Amino acid sequence: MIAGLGLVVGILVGLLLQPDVPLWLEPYLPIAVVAALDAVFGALRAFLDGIFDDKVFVVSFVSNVLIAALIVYLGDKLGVGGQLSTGVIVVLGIRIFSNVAAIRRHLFHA
Amino acid sequence: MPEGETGTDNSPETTDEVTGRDRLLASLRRPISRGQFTVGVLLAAVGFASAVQVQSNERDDDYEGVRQEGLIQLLDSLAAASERAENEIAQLEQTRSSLRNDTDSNNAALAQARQQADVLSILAGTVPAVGPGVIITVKDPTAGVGIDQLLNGLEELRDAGAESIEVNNSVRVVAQTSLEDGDGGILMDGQQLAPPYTIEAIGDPHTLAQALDFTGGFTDGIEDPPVNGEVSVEETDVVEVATIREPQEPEYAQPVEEE
Amino acid sequence: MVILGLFGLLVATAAIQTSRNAVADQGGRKELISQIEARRADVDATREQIVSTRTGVERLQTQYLDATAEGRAVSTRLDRLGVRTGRLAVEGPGVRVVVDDAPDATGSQQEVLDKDLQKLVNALWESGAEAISINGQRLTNLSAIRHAGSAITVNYRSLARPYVVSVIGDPDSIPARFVETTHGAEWLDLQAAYGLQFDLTTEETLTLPAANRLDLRHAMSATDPR
Repeated sequence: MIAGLGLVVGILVGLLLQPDVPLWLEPYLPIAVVAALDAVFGALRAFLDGIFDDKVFVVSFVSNVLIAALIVYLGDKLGVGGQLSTGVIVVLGIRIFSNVAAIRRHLFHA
Repeated sequence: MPEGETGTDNSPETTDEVTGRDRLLASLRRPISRGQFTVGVLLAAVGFASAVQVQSNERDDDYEGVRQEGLIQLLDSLAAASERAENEIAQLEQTRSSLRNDTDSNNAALAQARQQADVLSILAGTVPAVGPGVIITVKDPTAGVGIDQLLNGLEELRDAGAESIEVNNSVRVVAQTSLEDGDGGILMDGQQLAPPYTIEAIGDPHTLAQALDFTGGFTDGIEDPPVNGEVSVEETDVVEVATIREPQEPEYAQPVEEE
Repeated sequence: MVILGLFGLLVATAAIQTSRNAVADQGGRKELISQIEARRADVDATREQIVSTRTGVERLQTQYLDATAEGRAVSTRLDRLGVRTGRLAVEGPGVRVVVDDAPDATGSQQEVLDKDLQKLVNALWESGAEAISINGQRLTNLSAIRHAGSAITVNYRSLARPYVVSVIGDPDSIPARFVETTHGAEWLDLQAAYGLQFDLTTEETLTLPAANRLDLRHAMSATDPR
């Protein structure tokens, strides 16, 4: 419950405050969000599987975001920024898909 | 990258059916636990970042679709405008201080007024002007160059800081200058123009030349089919704009009386 | 060991090469846009300063010029030139033209583009206009109607729709002459074919502001400067 509330509060605060994204952060924010979503869906699936551990969630969340950012940074420096970002998004997308499918099976038995 | 949370892959679905959903329902009723709180905080962060990112993505629409080249051109012309504005401030402040300080203020005011009158005379086309700039020659073998192309060229030159323009050594361009289709060809301020067209413009030679070469600009508009003309631009230190206009007394426009 | 060394060399070379080509990427574009916005703010601020400084200067000048006959002669010359060049705010009879995108515009054909506005102004000059301003921007020999992104700019200032074109001239003849010009007729076509909004009304009195900048940096009078 608190978790759901947290999400809603975060979105509302973001919409109300309307902060300007600093220029240096702009290339990293979208990938960071997707990486965080991957961790979140993974956590939800683990929770429904009965093996959720908040410590593991925090570590996976933080490390996902950091590593995604690192890969973007490296990609930019090497000159393959666009391609590497695409690759990362694809991988994250696949994992999110498979986690959502598992969650769906839990909730709807379908 | 560490895996998202997954346990063993092959948990039998039958035993999980009940517990998965139940776990969810149970958590809704459970009092606050550390685990839930942590998750709540992190989800808040995700929600916040997503909202910010979505909004940030939707801004900056003004320049959507403008290519890199266009943005750089815009920045250049803005830089030039900024420089001109600064220049004018400097001149004005100098004028003001010399008006205040000069012991013979009457003569100082007179000299400055005369200088301003010179500037206005050049803009109004009542005196010849000289300065660096470009000389543009437009060959038009198919007679495809029309008022649209010339109007576009005029605007591009002005945008690039052209201060005084003369066409075919016969038409002095001023604020009121207009182009129209005539029976025998292009009419500029009522005067017939025949190709090849020569456009002389005073300004910064390089800035003017670049403005015309811009993709999809004046040069492309004339050299591309169906016009298939030819544009040559010569940058030079001395452009002489010799054609002058008779000073005209406006009939309808009157200066606003100041109290 | 050697492999690692070669790898390091490769990475370093790629990194250096990329930072040299740093202009052509998304980050660079956002950077450009923010630079453009910053410059624009600078120019606007300086312009406001110009207006206030100029008012002060003019007041002082009038004071001194009125004192001598010669001064008054130059003053008259300035006034006469001021109307046509845009240095002075002017008032008089004329027409007002308001143009806007088609109400349900879906593409650029149904929007008023900079070239449409250029043609409108051209047709108005051809019809005998003596002074024109668009959304408060006085048109001078130095004014350009262009676009920056999706907005039309006049005198490097972005304008918001609808575009109000105020024209001082003969209100009796301008409307008729307008429809007979090539670009005037084109505008009526734009109205009919794409739904662009066009409204021309005659006015008994219109007031147009003075131009913001009228300074020359390259052109000089070819007659002997006094």
